[in-house]
Amino acid sequence: MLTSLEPLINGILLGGLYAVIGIGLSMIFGIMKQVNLAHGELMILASYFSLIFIQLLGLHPLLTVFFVFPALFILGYLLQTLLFNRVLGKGMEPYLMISFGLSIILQNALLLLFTPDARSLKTGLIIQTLDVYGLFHVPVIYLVDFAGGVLMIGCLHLFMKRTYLGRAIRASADDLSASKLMGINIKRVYALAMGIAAVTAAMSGVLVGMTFTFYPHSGTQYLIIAFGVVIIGGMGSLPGTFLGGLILGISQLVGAQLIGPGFQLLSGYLILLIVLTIRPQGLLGKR
Amino acid sequence: MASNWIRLIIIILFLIALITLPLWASRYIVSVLLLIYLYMTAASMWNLLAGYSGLISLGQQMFIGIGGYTLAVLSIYYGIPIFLCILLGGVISVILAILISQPIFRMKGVYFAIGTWIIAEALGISFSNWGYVRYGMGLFIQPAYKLSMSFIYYAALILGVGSIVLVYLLLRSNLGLALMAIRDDDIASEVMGVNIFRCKLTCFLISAFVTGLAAGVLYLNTIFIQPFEAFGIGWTVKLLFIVIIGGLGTVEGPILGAVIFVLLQQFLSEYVGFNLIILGAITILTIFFAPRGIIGTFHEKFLLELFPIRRQ
Amino acid sequence: MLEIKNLDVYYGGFQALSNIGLEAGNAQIVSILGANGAGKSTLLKTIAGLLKARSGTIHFEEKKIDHLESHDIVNLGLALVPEGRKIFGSLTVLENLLMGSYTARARKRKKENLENVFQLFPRLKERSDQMGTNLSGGEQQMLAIGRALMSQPNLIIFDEISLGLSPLVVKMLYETIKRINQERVTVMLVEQDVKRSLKTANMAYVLQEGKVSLKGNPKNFTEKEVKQAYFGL
Repeated sequence: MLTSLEPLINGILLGGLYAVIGIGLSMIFGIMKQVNLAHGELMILASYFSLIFIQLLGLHPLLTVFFVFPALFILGYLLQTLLFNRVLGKGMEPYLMISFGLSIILQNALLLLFTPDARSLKTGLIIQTLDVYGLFHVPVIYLVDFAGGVLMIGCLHLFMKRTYLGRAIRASADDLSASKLMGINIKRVYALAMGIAAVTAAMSGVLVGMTFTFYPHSGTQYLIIAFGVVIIGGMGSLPGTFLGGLILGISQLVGAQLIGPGFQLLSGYLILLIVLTIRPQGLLGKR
Repeated sequence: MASNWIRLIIIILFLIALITLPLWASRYIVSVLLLIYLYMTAASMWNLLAGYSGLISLGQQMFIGIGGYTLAVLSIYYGIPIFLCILLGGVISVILAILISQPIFRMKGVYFAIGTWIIAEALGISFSNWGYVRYGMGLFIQPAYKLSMSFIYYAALILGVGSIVLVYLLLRSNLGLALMAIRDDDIASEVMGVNIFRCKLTCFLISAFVTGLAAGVLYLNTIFIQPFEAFGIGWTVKLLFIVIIGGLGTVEGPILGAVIFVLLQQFLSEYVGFNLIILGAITILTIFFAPRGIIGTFHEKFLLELFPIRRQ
Repeated sequence: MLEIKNLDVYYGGFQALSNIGLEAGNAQIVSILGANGAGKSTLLKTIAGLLKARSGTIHFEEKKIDHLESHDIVNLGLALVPEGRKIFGSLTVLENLLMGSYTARARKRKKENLENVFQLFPRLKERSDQMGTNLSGGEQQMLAIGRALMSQPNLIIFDEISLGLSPLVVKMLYETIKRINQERVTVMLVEQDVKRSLKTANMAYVLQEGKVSLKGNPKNFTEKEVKQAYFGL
């Protein structure tokens, strides 16, 4: 009987993964007031990087993070320094268009390098399920995703609260000129923040790669999930992003269960559109 | 004024050349120009939204998909004459625009951009799950086979010239004045009685209609339509490129941009896969170094306009 | 300590400051006065690096700073308490203060500086876990000043600190400023309250429409001179 709860529970677990997917986007919006349309591609890039390291070194997917995290951090840092910092203070349009152009470049570069074939980061975890007191089954991989998500968000929260850089990032989100007067080099802080956001994308990329198959064009659908999470939960709010992830995860899986599997993505989109219409600042949003 | 007459004469001579083109040019050139006209049309509409109405839409492809599928479905299943199909493509696009206008206009700025993108994606998924249009396999537009290239060329030419004239007249009208006031200062213009919502909505509906028409002719040319391609983000990438390179917020920008784009496409067709990367890269570089596009920079430097919209 | 020569600052096409010349000596209290729009805030922002001058020079402790970014200027020992306080609303009082010691130079002495600030403003110590936005106007001003002090400045600039505060609080703040000055920190003040400003400072400059219209020891100013310098009547 309790197996009917499975979509709900799986939705919650998946929600943890969705939350990590969204957190990078939320960070950039909270700090720089900009939306990085290439966020999904950064994620999928991480998935492909992981694939490379698995093939090169025969590592377990989770262990590739030791390589993928630094790689994405550097990439994020460079992107902000070389591309986005050049249009600082010029409003929303240039940033949006540059990130859009970037997403197209990355998507097609991945297409060229890796062909349109489906890929996944193979791990035994995907077929294992956990039997919870015989009441219902939970795929172990979902538990790993949830744990990974919680871990990443937890670390991020600690970082923001306890370190000088974390406080500097929060300060620059509050007041730009006052931050400069504190000796904060805004361009560098933004670059570091972007690097961190890229690392969260890396985490989600590796987890997603282990859980689902991915293609060069998968970035778009995950970008939309990231939006969903952030918009439902509220831009710039850490707990909000988590809540958003849960709601999106639950609605997707329950929707798929109730209506049909083809509707998984669609039900997510519909919820997103509804929230955008009636409460664009999200449930716990700041603006 | 003499300069106005000269301008007019140049334009007329040019138009004569274009109208008589199928008579003296090669088939290849006709097909290239045809594409230029169509991209010019869609890009002008994107420019109307982004460059003049302050609405950055990442979802114009929804109208391309709707326009194309309307053409396909009506001509294949119901044997309706092509002209009518194209027209209805525009009409149904407007209906879609009206349906989504309430929710979508509540979204501001970046939310609007994302919202339009999501709607287009949702439509793409829906169509690919729809048996009536043969799912993701797409449709072969049989009735378009028998059409001559000249026919399609003239349809495209009418659209191309028509869209530029439309935009030009629009901007010289009261609506245009209102748009430029809004562009300069939202709040001041609202206080003076400009109904911002109505202005933007009007532009949105017009762009939907014309883009739907252009899509119809486009698919007459390509003959095959598939949901992910028709509703795909690729269209926005191309329109973005055209408008940015040509010049956002200028009338002539989309024309030049379309020419550059189509020629670039022809040149890059050898290097499949690279072309979008190069487009993306050029777009980014243009935003850095020439944010007002070629025409925009030209305007700034030489204060010359081919289609002047400021009152003199 | 601070030397400004021939400074011209523009906002787009509009010239906000013309040919400004100004000096602040060691441990002085220098007051900048003038009507609204005369260019006082513009001058301070330019000194702090938030704005760039079109021509002219600014020297701080013999070093040229007019081409530097704000974050580098703070590292040299020049702090600005900005107009409107601008504390970080989503950070606590303590975190705000810690932000003041962000520069490497100040971070070394973070503990001592924090103690000093809490001694100057015991109220801040009481409310050190409160969010910035929950403080009263006076407390926010204290926090802004404390924050600037955390950067261990040799020159500290106060931009309109009495705005919106009760006379009692303002009196307390000015006493604090005198105490800060007694520790050999040079002070520069922009103030609406002319009387108070003239009482506290040992050097004053009056700006009118972007130019220096009067300068000298404020004790020697006559009322007529000041009025003339303000409004040009």
